[in-house]
Amino acid sequence: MKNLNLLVLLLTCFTLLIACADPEYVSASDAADLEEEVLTDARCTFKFSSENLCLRWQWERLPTETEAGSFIFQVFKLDQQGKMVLADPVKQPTVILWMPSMGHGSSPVTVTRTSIGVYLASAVFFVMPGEWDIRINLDENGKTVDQITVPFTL
Amino acid sequence: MKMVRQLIKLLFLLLSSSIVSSHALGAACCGGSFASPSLIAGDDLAQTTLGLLTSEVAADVYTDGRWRKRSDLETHKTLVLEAAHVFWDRWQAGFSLPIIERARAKETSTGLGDTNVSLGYEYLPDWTYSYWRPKGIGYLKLTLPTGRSIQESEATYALDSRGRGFWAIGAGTLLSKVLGAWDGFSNIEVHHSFSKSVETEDLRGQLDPSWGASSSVGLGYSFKSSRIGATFSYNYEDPINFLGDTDSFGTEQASTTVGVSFSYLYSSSWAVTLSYTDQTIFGEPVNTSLLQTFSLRVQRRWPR
Repeated sequence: MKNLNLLVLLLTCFTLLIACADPEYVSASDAADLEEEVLTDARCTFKFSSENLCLRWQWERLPTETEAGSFIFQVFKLDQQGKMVLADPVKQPTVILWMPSMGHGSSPVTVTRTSIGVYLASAVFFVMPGEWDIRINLDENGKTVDQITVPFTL
Repeated sequence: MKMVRQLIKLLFLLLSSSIVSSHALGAACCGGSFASPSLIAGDDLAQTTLGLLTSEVAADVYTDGRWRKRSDLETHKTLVLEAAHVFWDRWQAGFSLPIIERARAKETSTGLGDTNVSLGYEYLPDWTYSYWRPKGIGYLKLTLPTGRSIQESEATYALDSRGRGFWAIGAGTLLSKVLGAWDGFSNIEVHHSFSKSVETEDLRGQLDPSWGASSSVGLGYSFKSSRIGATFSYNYEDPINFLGDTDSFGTEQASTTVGVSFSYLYSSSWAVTLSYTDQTIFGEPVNTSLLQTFSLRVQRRWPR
């Protein structure tokens, strides 16, 4: 019985030593760097191939764990002089928040047209921290026909 | 020999109430879990357990394994009713029914979680004393998606999500052994969740889960009418893929839960167990939320 007690104690100590978690935490500076990167990116790097349109976006207000955010996106097309001009897409733009790692979305996002080619996405709220996709879609008859995906980590 | 048998029976009674405490916990966001089945590990005819669990979401873990502490508090309170009954000598059936309240930032939502029903068979009975042979129960378990899934959520913070949203069937085995004042158990199970179609305002397609598994071990020491114990559980789920307007491929989830418990056998019919489980202490969790849980369980047994 004494040997059994000693064996149990040794096994427990060994388990404790080898199995302790050693987490790497996301720091506040990580979040600050992301904000800076998003606000200074003025190049149009997102394209709707179905309508040959280009999209640019920036945060109006960054979402937090408890508060919704909003962002503005602008849609451009090339005119005959080769300049980028604001234009409304033929199909309806919508925004969906999607968490690919867990296979679920978040609360609905409201998209409002403010002027030609300029849209405000508000009520951008992520139900939990993690890695999300912001999907800006072009919908036709209730079906998504084109999509731009912007990764976002909360 | 009679005294030895009675002592072993007493220790099994204490062990049984603690096995109930060793629930494998799923991701907090998405509700539900493939918990340990409601089984009678001892020699009783029937048992009923009423449990009250209080959990707090301590952190979220990204797909790359980095942790993020929550800045706002999210708590879960669960009232769970579990019961099991032996029939045909070595066969038993049981169920688990949870009612879950989730709260975050002054918002709350309460409702039914996923229901589990199980069927067990004692394939390794302990009719005669053996120093080395454990008692073994094999079981089948069915999860009914009675809790709303996060894909169907309509509430702020998705607090009305209390289940995984999938039908699932699993099989497993529970082995237990008493040696002197010490006891131990191990439980291992594998389950498969079934696909389902989703159609909401924003989402049209098919959610495609796959396989999952959990394993747990426990060790306990009994003295007088009490028992202190520890459990160690590992929980894994395959990625959930979405096939629809845009295909999306998920990431697997994994977490490790460690628990300590104290059980007191008030009489041969009644036992109470206090326990604490924590998912932040051991292992390398991934793509999940981590819970810290206190629970109180009261168990009533009926002898054969």
